[in-house]
Amino acid sequence: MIRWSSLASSETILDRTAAARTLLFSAAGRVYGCDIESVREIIPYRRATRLPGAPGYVQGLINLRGTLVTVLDLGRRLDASREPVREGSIILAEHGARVVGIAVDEVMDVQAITEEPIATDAGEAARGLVRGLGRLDDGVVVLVDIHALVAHVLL
Amino acid sequence: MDSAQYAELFLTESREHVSAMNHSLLELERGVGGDEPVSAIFRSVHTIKGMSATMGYGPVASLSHELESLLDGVRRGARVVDPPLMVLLFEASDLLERAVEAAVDGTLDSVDVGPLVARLRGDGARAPSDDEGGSDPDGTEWTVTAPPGDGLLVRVRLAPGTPLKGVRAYLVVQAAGKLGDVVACAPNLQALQAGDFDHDFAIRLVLPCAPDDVGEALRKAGDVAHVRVGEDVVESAPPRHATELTVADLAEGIVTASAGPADTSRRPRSVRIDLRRLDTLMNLIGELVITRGRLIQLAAAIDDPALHEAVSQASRLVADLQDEIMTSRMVPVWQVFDRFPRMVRDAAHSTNKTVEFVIEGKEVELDRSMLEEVGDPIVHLLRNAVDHGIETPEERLAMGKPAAGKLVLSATRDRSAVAIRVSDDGRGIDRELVLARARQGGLVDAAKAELTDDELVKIIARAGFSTAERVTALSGRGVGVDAVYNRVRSLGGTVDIRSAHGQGTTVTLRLPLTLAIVRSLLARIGDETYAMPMTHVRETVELKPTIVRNLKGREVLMVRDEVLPLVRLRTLVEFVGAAPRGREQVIVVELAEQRAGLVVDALIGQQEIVVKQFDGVRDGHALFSGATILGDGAPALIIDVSSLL
Repeated sequence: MIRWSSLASSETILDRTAAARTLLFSAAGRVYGCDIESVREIIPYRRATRLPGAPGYVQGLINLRGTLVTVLDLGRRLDASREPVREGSIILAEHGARVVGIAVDEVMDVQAITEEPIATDAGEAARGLVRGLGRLDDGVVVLVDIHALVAHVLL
Repeated sequence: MDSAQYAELFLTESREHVSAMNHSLLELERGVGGDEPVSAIFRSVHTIKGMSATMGYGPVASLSHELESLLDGVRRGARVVDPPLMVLLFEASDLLERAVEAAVDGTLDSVDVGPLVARLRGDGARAPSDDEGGSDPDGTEWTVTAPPGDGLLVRVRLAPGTPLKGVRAYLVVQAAGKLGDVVACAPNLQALQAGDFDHDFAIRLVLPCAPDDVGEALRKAGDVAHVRVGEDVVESAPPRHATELTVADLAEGIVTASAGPADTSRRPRSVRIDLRRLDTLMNLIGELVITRGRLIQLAAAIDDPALHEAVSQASRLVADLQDEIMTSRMVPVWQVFDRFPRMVRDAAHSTNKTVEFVIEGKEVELDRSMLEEVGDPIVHLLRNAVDHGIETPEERLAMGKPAAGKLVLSATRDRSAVAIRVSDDGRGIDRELVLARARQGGLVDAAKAELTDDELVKIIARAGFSTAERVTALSGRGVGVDAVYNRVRSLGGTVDIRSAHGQGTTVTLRLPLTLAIVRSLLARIGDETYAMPMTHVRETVELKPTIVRNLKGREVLMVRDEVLPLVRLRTLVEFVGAAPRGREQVIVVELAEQRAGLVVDALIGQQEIVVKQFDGVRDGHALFSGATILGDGAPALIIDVSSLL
């Protein structure tokens, strides 16, 4: 597996090759995947301006070249008891015309992964945020539905 | 370009035409301008018809078709202009406007044009006016000279704003080629394919059969607004440009006037730009302004004259660029004002009043977003003036005033603001009545005998305050003045009312030129920075223990003789962290006549900030009106004062 930690240190536009469908990343000690088509860019973690009143998994606003982007903490969205992400990367995902940041610990790899329907973890699935599971050589990843995540948080 | 973008173009164009139509209808009603108003309405309707047919908005097309037929009758003198006709035309114009909006929204089913179409048709004096015929409704708009040669002359005009005109024209020529032989075209085929023509072109076609379906066939190519088959009628179709423009002329931008009619030659050259692009430019320049601040800060720490020179030069250029971009966002106020004459007319009719409405300073420019925001307040003021200000003709005559009330809407511009004034010569505000109501409501001291202008404004700007004896369809629900006042304040402007009983009322709105950049006070809570627009800041005071009182369990602030509610920003933003060091500060904020004291850790200072919007978060606070980016690149939230009060 290619480690992408070096990538996280610079602003990079991902190369969307045909085979590379799922972006793998870790948040709060677990590996997740999301559809690479909705990922626009990955930037190093930066501290967001807190948005008072917003739920705990909303880290706040960052300035992305003059545009204000709301940053969500995926780990805390899935489990509120987790520690907030304070370093790592922010995945900038496109949702319609909007861009949303997702704070993760580490961006790991891009792989072509076949999606399998989810059997367990119904709590997360019930909220519509988890699309299914993906099988890796050394384990399983939870595939996150970025659009559902964003639609659920933003007005 | 996808269909949504076509729809957007259609909407923009159609709105302009409906607006122009209303303008001409009013002229027609007043009987000014001779035949021109009818012709102008005809042209607008005709264009909408063509565009809607192309877009497949059947009901819009059929409504405009019937309207066009009726207008043709009027134009030829077969139908006299009388009040019933005006009513019908105004109704048709309204319905057309609704149908256009509905078509683009995809809710055309909800608009039933049937009854009105039937009435238009039934109005008689209908004359068949078909596009593919000898006489052309707007023959004067063909700009190209007919190509010489044999064959049937076919003139084609593309819908205004057609993208990739060249491609479209080529498709039309191709469609014509399927019917017969295209023997000539003007401009020539290369120019045509390059899109190097105004909006129309002409071809000569040798047909194997009768020319019945040429128009229909060519329209199928899409974006075709108009097709005319047959030779020009010489006197009705002079080419607009006696001189042909060449590519070279255009490239050098040296063509300033053509030999065409005066109105076209004076028109400044312009291009249409997507508004979002202008917004992006504005955002980028805002960004650049912030970076400039940072650069100046950094350079100040380095002792290098050459660097300082370069930084100050860059700084000047950024300022110039900012000015230019701000200017490019300015639009003339007529873009919004033009819909008011119609509205005033309707309001006057429904209240049986005669109103002479004058607009002054139409060409004064205002930031586009500001202008959009200020439209509703102006509508309120105009309606108030017609409904409550101006008396009925009988009352006016009895008072020795002319029967027709005068209502003036004017825009003037000075260095940093635009003043919009609504002035009537009606009955004015009855101070006695206002004072009596204010005493009843406990708004003023019962012993108060007189109101100054400022006090008057403050009282009538109170939510729900109305002196209207009855509620009408137009106004009088007590939502007028306070709504105007609050909206204008939230735009960073001020409202001023001068009124003399029996002589009329003048309301002046003063607005900053732009919304995007706002002078703000920056304040700190712990390590967080918040911004507060200066228009809402009355003063700042140190939070001494002596000025805080406890009133029924709530903290209040004593400032001079006033008792203000005290709001702690720390609590409001749920700040967790170290307690403030040193003495806290209070920002006294005000909106309309309401005030409150907002406690912050410390004041940072005043600064011009660029307002940016961000995506709202579910369950988030409605406490912020936007955010800005500070000199260090970090976002800071802007407090919405109305949410505090």
